[in-house]
Parts: sequence; C-alpha cells; structure tokens
Amino acid sequence: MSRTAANNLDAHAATQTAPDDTKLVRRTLDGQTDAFDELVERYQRRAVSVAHRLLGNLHDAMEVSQEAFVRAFRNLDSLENQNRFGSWLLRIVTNLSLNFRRDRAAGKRNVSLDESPMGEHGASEGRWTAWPGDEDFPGGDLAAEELREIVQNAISRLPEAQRTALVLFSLEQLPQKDVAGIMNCSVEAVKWHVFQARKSLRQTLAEYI
Amino acid sequence: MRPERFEQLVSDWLDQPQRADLREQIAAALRAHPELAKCKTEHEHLHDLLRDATASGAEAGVRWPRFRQETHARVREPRASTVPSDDSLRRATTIGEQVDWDRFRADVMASIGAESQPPRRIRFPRLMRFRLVASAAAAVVALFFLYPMAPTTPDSQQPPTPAERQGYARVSIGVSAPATSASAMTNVAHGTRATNPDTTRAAIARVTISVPPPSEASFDDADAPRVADSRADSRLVEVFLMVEPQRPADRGQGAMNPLTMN
Repeated sequence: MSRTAANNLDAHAATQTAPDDTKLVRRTLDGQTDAFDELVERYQRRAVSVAHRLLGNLHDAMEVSQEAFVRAFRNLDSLENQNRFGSWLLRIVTNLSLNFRRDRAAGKRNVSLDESPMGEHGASEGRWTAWPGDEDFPGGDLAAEELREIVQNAISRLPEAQRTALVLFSLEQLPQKDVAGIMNCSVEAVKWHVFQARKSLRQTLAEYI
Repeated sequence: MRPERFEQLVSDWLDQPQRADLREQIAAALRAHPELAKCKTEHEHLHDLLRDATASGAEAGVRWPRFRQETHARVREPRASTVPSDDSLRRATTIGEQVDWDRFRADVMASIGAESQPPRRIRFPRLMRFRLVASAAAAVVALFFLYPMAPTTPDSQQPPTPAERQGYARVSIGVSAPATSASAMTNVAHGTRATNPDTTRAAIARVTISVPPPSEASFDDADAPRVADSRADSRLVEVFLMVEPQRPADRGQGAMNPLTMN
C-alpha cells in the first residue's frame, strides 16, 4: 500500500471514529454533557488563541474563552446550523473579547493576580498556566518574548474593526464568510480592514520587518 | 499601477495564496514597476512576523486539562443559581407596598378637580377701574402738553419783536444758476448778482443782513442792497449760503418761498 493511500485510510478511519460537530451538538441537547466536553477539547485552543490575539493577555483570554463555552452551552438550542458550531463559538469569543476590552478600557475590569494560588516553587502560579521559568514553558527566549509583546501592542492599538479582521481572517485564517458574519459586514469590507491594518502595521513595525 | 493598489493586491494574495489571478497581477505589476518589489518584500516579512509573534508560545504553557475541567464544572452548574427564574424576576419588579396608594389617589382626584373648575377671574372694584382709566387719560394729556415742542421751522418761528436789536434778513432764492463758489457767495452777500458762466444752472441766494439802529429800521428798502456804514451803528454781516441747484423733482413740490421776516 502506498503512503498516500495509507494516509487517506487513516484519515477516513479518524473521520469514522470522531463524531462531527452536528452529532456532538445533538447529543448535548439530548442531555449528554460529556458530548460537550468533547466540543470543548476540540475548540479550546482555537478559542483561547483568538481571544489572546484580540486581548493581548493570556489570563483574560482564558477567562473570556471559558465564559464563551458556558454561554454556548446554555444557548445551544438557538444554533441554527449545528454543523457550524466552531464558527458560532468563535463569534461568541470575539464579541466577549471586544466587550471585555471595552470594559477594561473603561476601568470596569481589573485583572488581579492576587487570586492565583501559590505553586510548589514558592512563586505565584497562574490558574491555568505554568509560571515562566518552568522547563515546560518556552519562555527562555526573552528577545522573542519582547518582540511578541511589541507586535501584540501594535495590534492592540489598531482600530477595532481592523484588529478584528486582521486577527480572524489573516492570523486565524477563518473563512471569509465566517469573518464577515462575525463582524456583520461584507467580505470586501473584511479585506479592506485587513489591508488598512497591514498598511498601518507596516509603518509601526518598520524596524522589525 | 498605483502603489496603494499594488499593496492591496499583495494583501489579498497573502491571505489567499492559492489564487493564481492575484499572483499573475502582482507579477505583471512588478515587471512594469520593479521598484514595487521592496513593498512586496516588506509585506511578506510583516505577514510572517504577525503570524509568528502572535502564535503565542505562552499558549503552549496552558494547562488545558484544568481549563477543560473547570469549563465542564461551570457548564454543569444548575442554571437556577446563575439565571434568575421568572418568579424571582416577578418578585423583584413588584412594587408591592412601596407606594402610598391613598395619597396617590388623593393627588389624582385633586388634579382632576382642579381641571374641572372654571378658570379664576380677576375682578377689579369699580372705583379702582375708574381710577385706572383716569390715570391713563391724565398721563396722555400730560404728555401732550408737557412734551417739548419739536424744533420749529423758519416758517413757524415767531418773528422777533421790533424793539429788539436783531438782524433782519430778506432772502430771495430763485433758480437760475448754482452758486458754487465762495466768490459768488461773497458777491451775493454784497448784493450783487453772481453768475458762474461755467454752469448751466445756478441758484443765486441774495442775502443782506444788516443791523441798523432801532430808530432807522425800515423794511421798505429791504430790496435795495445796503452798504455798510462803519460810522453808523449798523453792521453788515456777510452770510455765505451754500445753495444747491434745485432738483427737477423738487420743483413740483414748490420752490422755496421768499422769506420775509418781520
């Protein structure tokens, strides 16, 4: 058997064993909450990634992502196309992230690190994250970390529409129609916002490109 | 191709690299404008930078099992503890005994009663009404009599009494030629006729003002020019009058009448 055929067979088998989103949503609506656990595992990284790029803060991103999953579960019966759970979830994540950002800008939200439990190493430990310095945490490259922070700050200073379009369409590579639906605008408008964001970042990050 | 249009083309291509039409348009633009190659390179570097920098290595340190476990726990929380029931909402919005309904009803009835009553009319006693009218009439009369008279025109001015030493001036004004020069006025003051051959029209004002002794005052010779006699107690006053030519529109209204002041 050729390598390509073997790969195709593995993919087919994976498809058969892993239920699609529609089945998981139906089982959740039937009362089987473990089906929703599988949806969480399937989309948690994507949700946190989107929120993190929009908010620039990992702790806030995880708070928002968890809230998005809870809201998705409670309003699952309102999902019209059960096969598009992922896009629907990311719309919730995007809206919550933008609201969170506005509230934070207005001073309504404070990120408190005092609530974090003390870890084994005598230092405060994140609720879901490992403390920098842990061998499992790729935080050894400070230069890369600084550059990441610079880039994230530059993205955070973009206008809301440009930032959202850039993160969802260009960085997260979501389908154009999904991004247009999340932003409630046309596909052309999404492309325009991405172009304007790139144009602005090209000047802001000129010394790094 | 304009640089901004080229940038937009590159931006679309970076998000959809599989599109051959975009790739061909970019290649054609670069053949026509090689200087745009730098712009394309910078956008490619920016695209890589954004993706790499925001790929978030920090997310690699996330304890996903704990995240999923906590999400699972929150999802299974009873909705009643977080979502208010209809009964609780109904109780929270019920006014209940917060309103003094008796007072409310009394205020409503008072407002209704006030609207149904006829409008109040202010009545003045008869004597007061008479006094008001009389006062207004007296004020009008006082204004009429006490208001200073307007400045009188020469026509209405009362002539001075003959006993007073005043100057008498007989002014005859006719429309013949404008008197536009001081010399003309001077001649007029001495009783001579002044004409300006350069003008087609001229108004000559013949003015003689003299102050003879009261005993010799006579008005019969007013037409004759008088010559100043310094030895006599008479004064000859030169009066320069600026006389403008009479406008045709004013003729209908009547030329100035000769003034005779007695």
